Amino acid sequence: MWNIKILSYVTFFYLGCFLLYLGILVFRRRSLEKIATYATMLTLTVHTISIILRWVESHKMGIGHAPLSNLYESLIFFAWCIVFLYLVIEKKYKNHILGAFVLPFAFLTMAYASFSPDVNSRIEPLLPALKSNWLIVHVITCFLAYGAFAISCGLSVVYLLRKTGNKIWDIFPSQKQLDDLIYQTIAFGFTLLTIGIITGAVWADKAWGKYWSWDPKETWSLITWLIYATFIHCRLVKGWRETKMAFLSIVGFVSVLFTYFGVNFLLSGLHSYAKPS
Amino acid sequence: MRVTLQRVLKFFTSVRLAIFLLLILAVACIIGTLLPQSQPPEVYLKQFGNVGSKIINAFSLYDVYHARWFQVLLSLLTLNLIACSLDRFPKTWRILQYNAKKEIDEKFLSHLSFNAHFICKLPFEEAKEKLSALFKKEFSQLEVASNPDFVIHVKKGSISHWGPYIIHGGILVILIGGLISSIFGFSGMMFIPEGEVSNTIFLEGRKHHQVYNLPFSLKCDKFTVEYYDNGMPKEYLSHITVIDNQKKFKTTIKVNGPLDYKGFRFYQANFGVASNPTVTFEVTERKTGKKFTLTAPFNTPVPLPDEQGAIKVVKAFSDLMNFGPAFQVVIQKPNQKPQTSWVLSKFPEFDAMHRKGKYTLVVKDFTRFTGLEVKKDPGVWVVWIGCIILVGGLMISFFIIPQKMWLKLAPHKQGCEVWLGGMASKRRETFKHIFQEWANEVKEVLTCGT
Repeated sequence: MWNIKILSYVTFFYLGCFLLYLGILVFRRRSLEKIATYATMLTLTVHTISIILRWVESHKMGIGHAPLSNLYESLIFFAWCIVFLYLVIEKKYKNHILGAFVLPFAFLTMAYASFSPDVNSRIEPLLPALKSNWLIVHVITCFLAYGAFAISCGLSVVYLLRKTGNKIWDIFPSQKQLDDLIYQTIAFGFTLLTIGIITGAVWADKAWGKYWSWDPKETWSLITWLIYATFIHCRLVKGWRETKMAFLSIVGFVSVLFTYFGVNFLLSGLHSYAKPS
Repeated sequence: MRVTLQRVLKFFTSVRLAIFLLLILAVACIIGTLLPQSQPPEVYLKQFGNVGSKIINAFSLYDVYHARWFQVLLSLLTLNLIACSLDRFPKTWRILQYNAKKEIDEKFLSHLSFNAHFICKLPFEEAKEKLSALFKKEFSQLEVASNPDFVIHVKKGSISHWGPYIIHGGILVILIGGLISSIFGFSGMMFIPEGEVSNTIFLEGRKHHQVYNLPFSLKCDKFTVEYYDNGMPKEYLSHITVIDNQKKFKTTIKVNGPLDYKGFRFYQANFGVASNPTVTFEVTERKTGKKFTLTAPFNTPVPLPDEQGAIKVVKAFSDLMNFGPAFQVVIQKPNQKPQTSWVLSKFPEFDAMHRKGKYTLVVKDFTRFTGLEVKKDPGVWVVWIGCIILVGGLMISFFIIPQKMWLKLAPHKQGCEVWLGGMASKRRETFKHIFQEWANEVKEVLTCGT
């Protein structure tokens, strides 16, 4: 089980990357920017390779399936989505310090996956209900959406700090840019969440015979969807900007976290594949 | 009267109402997930006391998603969605029709929210050609006028303004599909023992306790479960023969692999011990260890080999107290009291350990039934079409940024003079970025300083 070992190292690499980004913030050394970015890219590459390795290993065991089928695998992929989307944003906006507020999400997710005794990291065969091509599309779209929402939450925290007017935070993009960036990540996340819910519905229709059955997971994804829909409407039509929006984006992410973890731990339903063992 | 009507209209067309409804729906959904749904009244009474259960009853909180008020909220949202779209439509139309006044001069350009001005060394005629070529490549909609000044007007991405209408149209279609599903669709369960034929569906949901008879029948030839090496179930398979008058064909139904036939869909949902199963035992003689198999039809005594009695299966359960399939057998011996015992198929040693006697019993096989979920849902395609419209609308709305720019070129003693102006009717911050890039590109093409 090489992949599990490498992935546990990846956790610490992400911690290192986070410290590098924090270093830029604290020491104001521009030279650290490149190092932090390259370190993150390298870690993401290793992360990607170990996910592929896990896939290959499952095929060698004769129960081959995409590594997206239980809580451990979903956490690993969640962290991957966060870092991947962050690097895309960093490249597009040429700002290297937001990492200090995004990478902790990746690190914590990886740490939880790798070191929590509740999370079973073994490769296990697929239950009949999960054997479907919709699994891959559904999980990828949902987790890219979750990743985008995680980033928008990090950015909202930056926004609120920036708003305090303290000079330390001047290194960050202007409030207007941040506001726009938060909106863009949420628009991206919202579109993917919509696709994720729809692919889930198509799959549910095929596996359970109902495209919508008010299962807690479904309902919570709808709640998250409603909260972000509210966000978009407030912004587009009411012209809300600034602090209120940042708060709403954080509330949205809390709802994402509940959809992801809360439902698995606290509520029972059809969608119990990602339960800790 | 007219004032009231206007007020009502204003109320329905307000985005405030939309935001309020979205949040209330979110809260309703949260209640629906936190409060256990569809429990018998005693459960609520026990957990929430007298007052609590009264509140639950008054607001039908035991079944939030089907409560009248929930449906009212959904209808209000639908009305609001239509009203808002109609209300905003003229505004969008104006934005789309907006073509600046015919005369594009410096004053107009400098009043636009985004503008740039520079002087370049390139001669006027050459600059004209280069600029036309640059914009022609990137914009589908391009107007060039050169009387009296050389002016280019370009725009693209106007479709983005239709995005919200497409999105809301999609949601409307989905809601209509859902309505069709709930009115004309139904679902239910079919239970077919192996070897038997059935066309009876026990309906679920609103038509609870009703029975529907299919115009054709299904025969369950066999039900099988396949396992992985570690004992986890791999596949649940029903081998089915569809019998439709003279037509007959064989097929299989598995989880994630439903059968579609004549507008009905059959899903593998359940299985268990048939109500009158034929059980096959492996019988071992304790003393000699000699083994043989014995097939016992339900409730029929089957003689044991030494003519020392008979065995009869009298009860069968799919799951007896979480021990899995269980069969109650009665062993009758001449001149003795009948011996009654349970044989568990998941625990082969159970009989040998808990019952004395000449023979020990192990369950080898038994007749199963397959439980098929049957669904007829004419709304499902409407829902999928709505979903496609919705996603298309989101893409158009979020990822296409409308761009509208004007450029004026005039001869100058150093070469030529350029005024560039842009207008964002949406996504100002992003457009600012795009406009800056365009300004740089124009400068590069014309090889200007500042």
